Parts: sequence; structure tokens; C-alpha cells
Amino acid sequence: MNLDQIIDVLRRDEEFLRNVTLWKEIEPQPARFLPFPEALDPRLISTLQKHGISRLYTHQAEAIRHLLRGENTVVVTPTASGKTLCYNIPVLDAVLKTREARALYLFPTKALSQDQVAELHALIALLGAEIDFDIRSYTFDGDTPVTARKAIRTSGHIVVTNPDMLHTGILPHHTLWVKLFENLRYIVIDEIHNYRGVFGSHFANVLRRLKRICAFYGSQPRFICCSATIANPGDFARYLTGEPLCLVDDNGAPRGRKHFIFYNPPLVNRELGIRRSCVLEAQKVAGKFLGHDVQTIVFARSRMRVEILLTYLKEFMRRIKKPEHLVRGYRGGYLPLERREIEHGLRSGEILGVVSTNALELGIDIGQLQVCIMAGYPGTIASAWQQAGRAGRRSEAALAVLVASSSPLDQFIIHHPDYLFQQSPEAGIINPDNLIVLLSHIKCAAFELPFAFDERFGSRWDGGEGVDSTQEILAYLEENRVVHKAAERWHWMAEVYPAEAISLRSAAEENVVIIDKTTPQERVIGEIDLFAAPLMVHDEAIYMHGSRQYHVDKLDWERRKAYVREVAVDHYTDAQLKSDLRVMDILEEKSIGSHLAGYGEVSVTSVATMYKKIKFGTHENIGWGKINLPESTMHTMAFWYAFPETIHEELGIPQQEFSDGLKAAANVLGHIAPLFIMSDPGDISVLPMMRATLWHKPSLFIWERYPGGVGHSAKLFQIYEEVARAGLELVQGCGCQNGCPSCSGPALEVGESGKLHAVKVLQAMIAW
Amino acid sequence: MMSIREKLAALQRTTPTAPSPPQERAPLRGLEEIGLECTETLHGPLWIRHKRFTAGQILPYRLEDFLQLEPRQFLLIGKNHALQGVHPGKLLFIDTETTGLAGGAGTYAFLVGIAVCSEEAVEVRQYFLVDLDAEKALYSSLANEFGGREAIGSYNGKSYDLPLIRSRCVMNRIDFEGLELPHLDLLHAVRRLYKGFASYTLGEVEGRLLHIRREEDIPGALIPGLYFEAMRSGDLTTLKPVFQHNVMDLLSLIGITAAAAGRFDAHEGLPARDLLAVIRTLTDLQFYGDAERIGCTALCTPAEEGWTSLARHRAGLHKRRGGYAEAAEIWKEWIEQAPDFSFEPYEELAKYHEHRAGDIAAALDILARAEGRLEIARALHDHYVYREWEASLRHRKERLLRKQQLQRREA
Repeated sequence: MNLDQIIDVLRRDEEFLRNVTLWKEIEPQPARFLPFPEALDPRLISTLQKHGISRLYTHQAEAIRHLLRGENTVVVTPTASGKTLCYNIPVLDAVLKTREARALYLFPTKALSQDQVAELHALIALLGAEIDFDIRSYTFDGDTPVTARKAIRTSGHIVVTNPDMLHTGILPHHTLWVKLFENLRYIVIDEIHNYRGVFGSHFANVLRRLKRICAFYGSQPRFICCSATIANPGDFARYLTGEPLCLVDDNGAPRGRKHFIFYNPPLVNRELGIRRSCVLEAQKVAGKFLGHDVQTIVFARSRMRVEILLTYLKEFMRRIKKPEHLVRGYRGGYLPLERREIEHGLRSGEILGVVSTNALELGIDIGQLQVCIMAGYPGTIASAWQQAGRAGRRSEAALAVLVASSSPLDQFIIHHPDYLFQQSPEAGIINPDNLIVLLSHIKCAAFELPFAFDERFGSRWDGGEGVDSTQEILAYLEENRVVHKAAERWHWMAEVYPAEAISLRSAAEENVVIIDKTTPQERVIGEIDLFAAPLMVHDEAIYMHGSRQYHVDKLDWERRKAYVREVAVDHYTDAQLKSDLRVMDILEEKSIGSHLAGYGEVSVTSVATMYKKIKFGTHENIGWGKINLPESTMHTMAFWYAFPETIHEELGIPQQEFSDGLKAAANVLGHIAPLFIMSDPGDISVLPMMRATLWHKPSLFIWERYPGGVGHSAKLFQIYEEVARAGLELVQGCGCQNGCPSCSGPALEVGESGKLHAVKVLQAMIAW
Repeated sequence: MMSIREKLAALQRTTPTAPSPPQERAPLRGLEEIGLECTETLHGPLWIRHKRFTAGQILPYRLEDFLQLEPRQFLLIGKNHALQGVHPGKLLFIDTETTGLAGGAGTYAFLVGIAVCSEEAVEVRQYFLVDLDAEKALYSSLANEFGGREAIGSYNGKSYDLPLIRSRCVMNRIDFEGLELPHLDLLHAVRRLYKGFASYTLGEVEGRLLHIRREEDIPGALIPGLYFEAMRSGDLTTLKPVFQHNVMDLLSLIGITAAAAGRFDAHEGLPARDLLAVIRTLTDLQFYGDAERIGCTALCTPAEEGWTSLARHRAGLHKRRGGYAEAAEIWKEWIEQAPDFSFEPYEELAKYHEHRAGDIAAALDILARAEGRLEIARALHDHYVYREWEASLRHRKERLLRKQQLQRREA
């Protein structure tokens, strides 16, 4: 059966349809065109015309027009809308007009840049017939051979790289890149919505350094950014680049027919609101397509889920007598070679199905798949669209299925499809001025060029703005003996190479190495960041890697090593974290009657306390154990909402039950907030406290899990009412009686009246 | 409200340091004690230490040995035709002391020493960065030192000192054309001409070539830290050993140049692998006559490591120049002398008989001998290479037999 036939069958499949809450057909959309802007080099126009591009889509033409006028531009269009031409055309135009012109392309991952550059090369090859010189474009990353580097530095018109390489390999060696920096006309940043949170806060600072170096060499490049749909693309691109930009978001590209199915697994226990596991259901749905040799990608939210799903799907393949290696797993932690092999297998069709984390949601070239299944809402609307875009990227019919988990956010989305199909509420948030991040990059910047005594880091081309505390931070660095105040400027004065020690992507600089001791010959099978280690590789944990199970014999916390042994057991482990919070500094606060909302600096102490053993298949709890690890303290930012001490009376909640209500409301907020601040669920945590330390009142905290915070708290302070309202809709719309994992949490955790009380608490937050 | 300092300490989970009062730069002490003299330049004051070492004074070699080097010898040591015609007195030696080995735009050279030789003495001038802002004065004056020079001599300067100076000049927008002079990098030369040293640090090499051991030399790893401390305290006297270290490095370079030149004159008694290095250099420079003259005398101690390579290289040398008969002699010698069995000389000889001498019978005879040796070798040790050789031998033999038949029929 082909996909259309399977769709017909599914349309009549009563059992399947019982769980479908929405079957939306997105109609094909015709293309809208505009002619080439006249200012473009005629050789470029004729080359494109000769090869079948006789006009541009409206958004392409609009973007190019802005750029030709010298305006920074951000293009917001869906996957496969021809956005690469939006930057390739102006860049090639600049090189045709001035042979010395240079451009820098930045892609969020190394793998991605390799694929995107293929398209650029094709266009350059076509142009070759029209011109008497070579336009050179090169990828410069960790894999670039040393022998090729010199040529790239001096003669590459277009240098394709990633933020990490720019940070550690290019900026600190800028004197070798004089040609590039003197003649830099464009900085292209693709997939900017990926640069949010910690990564984005770092990246914004890398761009500050880049601009500083360009200014030194006398160039003022323009920015071309591309983004998936988010609520604030224009503002977000401005936070990132520190420059004003023109927004182009009216997509003129054609779209093929797409089926989008919302699938809510059946309730197993109506009273408790417990549904069948989305992992099990996703596996069942995937089977419908894999069984008929339809190439399918399944996205799972965590590495662990990838491994579990992979195990299930391999079992399924064995049951239907197909080779199990037709289904593969793909996630961070796999070695690059293995990943390349899987990508290739997907393109060639040798691999029928792949289970992946969001690692494959970026534009890595795996060809066109027909079906995409999301085992759980991927966390952001932008991701959901990108993952769905993996199915049928060009014009043929394609199908995407969102299988909801029991989590409140999934249940909210599946019952409020407008959030996905209408206006996205999620805003990209970064905080380039997070002190730790800022400190790191001021170090790197001082290494690259001395700081003037009146310089403000991150100032605009016109000299405006910039970081207020620049000089204060430099003074701090002097005390810490890495910079030195000379006659006229601050100079780097230390033997270390600061960029090397600063990772753009992970909060912790240290990782725990996972060592397999199954055979006498020990080998390293992976690593995990320090913050996640107490949860994933505590003593006695079951750690999953490559669909194999490992038992953690010992986590050597001091040496940052976890020793594991391969096992075959019928369960996995799930660890619990216990936290305490102190407010250190109030940054902003407002009273609403006797209520108080605010945000500021806090200190959170956490410790992993115990773990549960969960059985595969039934997901029942079959045991538990204690975790003995030192507690860790984090200085970060939090949003809070404090109620008056007598709130339980006002709301008519018995005093002894109020803590349940507070906990239930906190659960709801914690699950719904990521929808608005575009964070991963793990980026924030909620903490209900009956007597918060500073004001001794019942309070709700939402704190950020990165030292110093990345701006979520400030945003929540602005929009908390909206979040509470969405939370209220979620709880009230849920069919359960006394609270369930899909809304306020199970009665077991928040008490028999938890749900009822949560509604009152949330109402109290918006009643004003 | 917390101060930036307190916040940073909290974020990094350390105890905040007490704020130190804003510091005025400490006045520099010890400039005279070190022997630095101030020159005013367009870009501000510049501090230089001048030193002069006459022949016989502390030099661990005879200065005449260096001054008497002929222009051609620089070309041989450097294996670079651009060094042809350089005069000893016009060679500028350079060595830098830096703020770290990490490289990148945040690494400075705080001391740049140069040395030039005249009839009577070695002149050393050490350019010192008294303030990290003073690079402009330093490099624009240093550029003048390069005027009228014919070449640069250094130890690893091609990949370390000169790129660093280039980078500093970019940062200070200074044109420094002298950096493009022909470059004699002695690290490369010593690596090429002296095989089998445990390491090629300057200390190791000067010990081997000049037979000296430095007393009280400061370990290189401590040097950046001493400079940082001096900049912070203003007390330069602790840098004295660094200046001394830099001088010794420069003086050694001169001696090493003279010693390395000797490799091309006194090659008798050299180990085979070192002779091969000398011959390779000559070959690469296309001095085939010299290469063969030295090679001839060298093929006498077959058991030595490198002997086979030497034979191969020499035979190749003849072959390239059309001296097939001479090459054949070497292959024969190789077969007679070599301790281990190798198919290579047999194959080469067979080819020679077939294609050059036109003697198919002789070629077959050689192959038959090879077959015998190969059988013994395989009996001793069944190496996969032997199987490859056997296949290649069989193939060649069959072809020769067919050719022989054809010739007989024609006859």
C-alpha cells in the first residue's frame, strides 16, 4: 500500500479514529511571484533564468530588496520555502559586483552546514559560465584539514561555519582572517529560533565579539537571519544581533497537501485521567506505516524515549518478520560516523524508519520522508512545525501525527489546536547580559582585542548601547589576574586561551564520563552534563544507550565518572529531585491588592533524593531506592507570585488542604509556561512554598535552571496572567475528576481536592 | 543591591573577594639593572638592551666557523634555493619570549631578541615591551632592523615567532616587509640532518651539537608568569634570567648553523640514516653529482639500520638520471649484501634486463633466484607481503616466458 491508500484505510479505521481529536488537511497553496529586483547583477539574473528560476517568490524578492538597500533582514518562512535563495542571491550579487566581497554563513550545527552548502555550490557552478573568476565557498569547521585552512582564510568568498568554530577557531585568530574581516559584507544566520536560552545568550555574545572585530578592520556587515515561525521573530533577531532588522514574513512559496492528525491515546483510567503511554501509541501508529514500507520518522522528546521506542519498534519488526536493522535510532551521544551512516541510509532508502530526538529536526539532509510521528508534543510550536516538515518537504502529500502524552502541555495543545495552527504565542528569549555568559565573552573579547577605557561591550555600529558594566567586569577580571590595565587599554594577560574552556551549548562546563565495565577492557560509551548526572547515572540507575541497558554500578562524583555494566532488565529508573529556595535580590515587584508578583535573584539548593523503578510496557512502579549525592546550590533567577497568609480563607479551602492546592497550581503553571517562553520543560522548575523565606507567605516560584537565568523570569513577570489563564483552561477542560497527570497532577500527589483547589488558586492569580 | 563582584562570586559559587582599591600603575623598577636603554620613537619610548659578545668570549664555538660559511652552505642547511648567496654577516637571528604558547590574538611577544655577526663580535639587541600598549613602538623599530639583511635565522620561527610577530603587526596596523625575507629555520634543518634525537628542543640540540649544558637556565614554562608578575608589581629585576635565556638562545643559533653546515663536509663515519639525510637533501636540491659522490662511499656497512633505504635512494637517483647500468650495480650489491630478503632489487633487476638490456634470459634467471629466496623466506615466516610478492613474481615470469616464446618463433 502506498501512503494515499493507507490514509484511505485510516479514514475508515474506527479504532484509530476513536483517538483522533483533529484531522486537519492543510490545503495546497499556489505560489506568488515577483520579478527579480532590477538592481541585481544581470549575470546572476540570467543564470537563474537559464536554470528555471524565472522569477522569485514574493518573500524572496522582498528580502533581497531590503538587503540591496543595505538593511539587515530577518526572513520568517516555513521549511522548504526557498529561504536559502534569500541569502545566496544577495551574497553572490555582492561578490559579482566587488570581487573582494566576503560573506560568513553560520549554521547551528556542523552537520547542517555541510548539507546547506551543497545547494550554494550548485548555484556557484551554474554562475561559472558567466564570469571569469572563481567564487570560492568553503566549510570551515573542526573537520577542515589544516592544509586547507590557509586557502580558506585568504581566498574563501563565502566561509560556512558554526557558532562554536567561530567562537574557538576564528575570532581568537582573527589576524589570520584579515581578508575576510576587512571585506565582510554579509553575516548569514540560519535557523535563528534555535539560538534561544543559554545557547542563544552565548551566541549573542559571540556576535558582539564578531562585530567588534569587524569594526576593528573597518567593515560593517549586514545581517541576514532566517527563522521558523515564532511570536517575536523581529525582536528576537534584534536581541541576538544587537541591530535593527526588517521583517519579511509573508511566504510566497507553494505548499503541498498535508494531513495533520492529533492523536490522543485512550484513557486507561478515567477517574485518574491516565492515558495509554504516548510511546506505546506512537509505536503502534508507526507500525501502520513501517509495515507497508512507508519511510517514517518518529520523534521522541528525550534520549531515553528514543531508546525505549527503538526497542519497541525493533521488536515490532521482528514480529512482522522484517529485518530489525531497517529501524535505527539517532540522537546526540552517537558517534559522528554512525550518524553519517544513518543519514545516508535514510536518503538512499536503505533505512525505513528512524527514531530520533530533535537532532534531526534541523535541515540535516535525510531526504524526503513521507510520514512524521511525534511521540509527544516536541516542546515548542516551532519544533513541531519543523518536525512535521520532515514529512513531504516538497509537493507530494504527506502526513504528520502528533501523539499526545498525558503531560498537561500535550493535553493543552491537543485540545487547543489554534495555538499550533493560528498565532504562535511562543517567544524566543535570550539574556545576553547574563553575568556568567557576559563574563565569559568579555574574557574572550579581551583576548581578541584590548578594551579601551571607555568601551562598552556589544555597542552598535553607530556606537550606541552596549553593556553598562563592561568596565566593572574588566576590573573584576584584573583582580582575577587575567587582564591587565596598561597605559591606554585593558589587555589580556594570561597564558590560557579562554574560548577553549567556554562551551556555548551546555550550562555546566564539566561532564560526567560514562565508562562501560562489562568486559575487562573498559571503554567510554558516552558523557552527560554534570547537572543531569544525579538524575541519569546515580548509583543503581538503569542508563540506556544504543537501545542497550546499563546498570550504573558506581557514580564517582569527585572524579566525574560513572561506571556501568550491560544488563537485561524489564524496567528503567526515574529519579526525584528535592529543592529549597531563598530570594537574594528583588529586581522588580508589584502588589496586586494584598498579592505580590515579582522576579529576581534566588539561590536554589537541590538534591537528588530517591529513584523509582518503572516496568516496561505497563509502566508500573516496581520498587525504589535512595540516592546519596551531595546537594548542589545554584544562584539563578526566578519569577514568583505570593498570596496573603489568609488566602485559604478567602478561597474557601480548608487550611490543611491549601498546600495541595498550591502544589497542584504550581504543577499546572510549570507545564504550561514553556509554551509561552519557548523553553524546554527542563529549563525551568516550579516550587510551591507555604512560607517563602523572605516574606513568610504562601508563594509559587518558577525558577530557571541555568546560573544567572536567561530571561525567562522577566518574561513570566510580564505575562504570568496569560499563563495562568491558559493553565485554568487546561484544568477546567480536563475530563478527569480529582486531578490527573494531564492537568494538576494525580490525586495521589495533590490530594482528592487538588484539582478543585488548583482552579481556585489560578483564578485568584487572574482575578485582579 | 549586590555589586557585580558579589554577584559573580555567588554565581560561580565562590566567596567574594574583597574589593581592592583601584590601582595606579606601579612605576617600573629595575630598568637600569637589567641594562635597558630608552629610545624615543614616533610611537613613544622604546626600551632596548644592547649586548656585544666578542669572539672567544663565552661563545661555545669559534665565531670564525660561522663567519667563514660560504653562501652555498646556507642553501644546503636550509634546503632552500632562496638562501643562495646569503652572507653570514647579513643573516639576522631572531628569538622571542612570549606570554604563552596557546597562540591567538591574545598572545604577546614581550621580548624580541635579534643577533647579527660581524668580524669581531656578535651584536645582540633585545626589544622589551615595558607596557602592553607599547607594541607599535617596538615593531616599527624592529622592522628597521631588517633593512639591508638578506635572511632570517630562527629556531621554529617559521611556525612560531614569525606568525606571532605578523599577528602583532596586524593588530597594530604596521607593515613589516622584512618578515618575508628568506628564512633559515634551524629546527627544520636539524630535524632533517640529525636523525634519532630523543627530542629536538633547543636545549637538547645545543647539547648534542655544541656540547654545552646550560647552568641555571630558567625553564621556558615559567617565563610568561614572570612577565605577568613584573607587569603587575612594576619590578623588572626578576626578569633578568629571561633576558639571559633569550641571549643564550640567540648565541646557540649561530653555533648550530655552523655545526649543521659541517654535515655536508665531514660525512665520513656518519651513521647510514644521517648520510641518507644528507644525500636526500642534495638530491632534492638537484645536486645529483654531490649526492652520488657521498652515496658511493656509504654503502659499506650493510647491517646498519637505514642501509636499505640508502641503497634504494641511490639506485633511484641513477635511474632518474638515466644511469641504468649504475643502478643495476647497486641492485646487485643490494641482493648480495642485504640481511633480509626483499623482492624489490630482484624485480628492479629483472625490469632492467627486460627493458634496458633486452636480455630476457637474464631476467628469467634473476626471477628464478628470487623464487628460491622467497621459498626460504616463507618457510621461516609466512608474511602476507611474501604472498603478494609471489603473485607479482609469477605474473612477471609468465609474461617473460610468453615474450621469450614469441621471440623464438620470430627468430
